[in-house]
Amino acid sequence: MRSAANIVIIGSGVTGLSTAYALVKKGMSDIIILEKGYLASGASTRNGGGIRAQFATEQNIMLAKASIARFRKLGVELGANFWFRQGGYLFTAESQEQMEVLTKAAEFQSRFKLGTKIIDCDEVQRLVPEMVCKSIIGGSYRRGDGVLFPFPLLFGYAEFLRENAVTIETHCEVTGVRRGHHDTELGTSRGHINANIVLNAAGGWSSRIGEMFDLKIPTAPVRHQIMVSEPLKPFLDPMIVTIGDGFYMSQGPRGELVGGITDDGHGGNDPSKSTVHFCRKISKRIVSLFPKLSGASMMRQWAGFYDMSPDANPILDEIEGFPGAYVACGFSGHGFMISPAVGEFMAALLLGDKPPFPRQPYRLSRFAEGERPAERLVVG
Amino acid sequence: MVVNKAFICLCEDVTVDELLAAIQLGYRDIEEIKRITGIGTGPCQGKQCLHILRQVLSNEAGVPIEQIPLTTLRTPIVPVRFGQWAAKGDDEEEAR
Repeated sequence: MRSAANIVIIGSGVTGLSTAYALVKKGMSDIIILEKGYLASGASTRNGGGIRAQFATEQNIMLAKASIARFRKLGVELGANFWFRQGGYLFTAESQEQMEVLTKAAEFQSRFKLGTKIIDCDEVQRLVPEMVCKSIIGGSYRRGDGVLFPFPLLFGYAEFLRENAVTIETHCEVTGVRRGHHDTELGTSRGHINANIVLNAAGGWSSRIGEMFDLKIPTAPVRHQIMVSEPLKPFLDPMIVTIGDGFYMSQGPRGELVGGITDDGHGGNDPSKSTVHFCRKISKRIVSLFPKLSGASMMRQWAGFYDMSPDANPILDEIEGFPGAYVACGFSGHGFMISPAVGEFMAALLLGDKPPFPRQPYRLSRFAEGERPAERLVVG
Repeated sequence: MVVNKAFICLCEDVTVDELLAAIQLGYRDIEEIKRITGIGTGPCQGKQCLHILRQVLSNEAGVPIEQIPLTTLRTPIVPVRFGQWAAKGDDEEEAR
C-alpha cells in the first residue's frame, strides 16, 4: 500500500464514493479510499433504495432536492443502470396528530417548491388501489420522489473511480490518527499513510473514528432491518409509508417488495444478526394493509445501521484542531438519498471552495449551541 | 471444462461468464460478488449456487475453497408467506 496521498477518505460507503467522484470531477487526483470491510459494506449496501425530498428540515430538503436532480443524470455519467424510478413517496397518517405532522411538513416543503400534495383517504386509495385504507385518514404525496437499486450505483462509482486512478483499499482498517507537521498520519491494519486532507466518512463507525481525532461526535449506530419478498406482478407505484410505526414498502423494477419497520431494539443492535421478531412485526403490518399478500412470501431479510445524530440531520464539517481533516456523518438513515449533493458539498469543503449550501446548519458545533429543529420524518 | 454460458444461479439467471467478469474487475470478497452479480439473492438463498461460486472463485483467485467463507446466513432460510409470519403465536418463542 502507498504510504502517502493528497486525499484519504475513510469509508467506501456512498458518502466516501460520491465525495471522491466529485473530487475527480473537479480535477483532483492522488486519492485513496480506505475501507475496513468489503466495498460499501456498511449501510450503503444495506439500505432500501428510497429517494425522497419530503423532509421536515431545510438541511435535508436542500441536499435531497439537489440529489434527485443529480440521480437523474448520474446513470449516464457513470455508465451504470441503477434503475431510478420516480414513482413518488406516499406518506400516510392514521391519526389527526400524524396528519398534522404531514401537513406542517408539506407547508414547509412548499418554501422549496417541492410540489408536495396533501391528499385525503380517497386519493390515497386511488394511488394504491390494492391497499386497505381503513385505518388511513390521508397523507402527503410527492411524485418526484422514488426508489433506486443501490448496488449498481455503488459499483458504478467504484469502477469510475478506479478508471480515474483513485485507489480503493478494502479490508484496510484505520487504527489510529496522529497530527503531523503539515499533514495527518493514519495508522492502518496495513501500515501507515500520510495525507494532506482526510475525510471521516465511516458511517456507523464515524464516531469511533472521531475519537481517534480527539473529537466527540454525538452520533450512534442503530440497527434497522429490511426484508424483500419474492418477485410479484407490479401493483405498487409509490413508496408507501405509515408514519405512526415507521413502516415503508416499495416495489422494485423486478417486482420484489422491499420494506422495513421501526425496530424496537428487540434482539440487540448487531447488524450481522436478524430477528424473527422483525419478520413477524413487518408481516403483520403488510397483511393488515394488503390482505392479498398473505399468500406471498418473504424471500430474505437483512440488517444495517442508521448513524443517528441528535437532530437526525447530517454533520458536514471540518475537524477542529486537525487542519485538513473533515467529517461527513450522522445521516440518520438518509445518507444514500442525499449522497450526490453531500459529495459535492464535501468536495468543495475539502478543497477550500465555497460549498453549494450554507455551512452553518451542518456544523458539529450546533449541538453545543442549543436547540435546533430536528428532522421528524425519519422512517424505518 | 467450464461452459461459460452455463448458469451458476438459476434464481437470478447469472452465468459463469458474468461471475468471471466480476472477478476480472478485481472483486474477490464473496459479499461483493454476491452484490455485483446477484448470485444467491433469489428464492433459494444461495443453497444451489454459493458453493459453485466459491469453487469458481477459488480456481480463479488461487485461494483454497476453505478460505472462502459463505455469505451471512439469515432468517428465513426458505421463503415464508407473510400470512404465516403474521399468524397469531406465542411471541415469547421468538426470543430463541
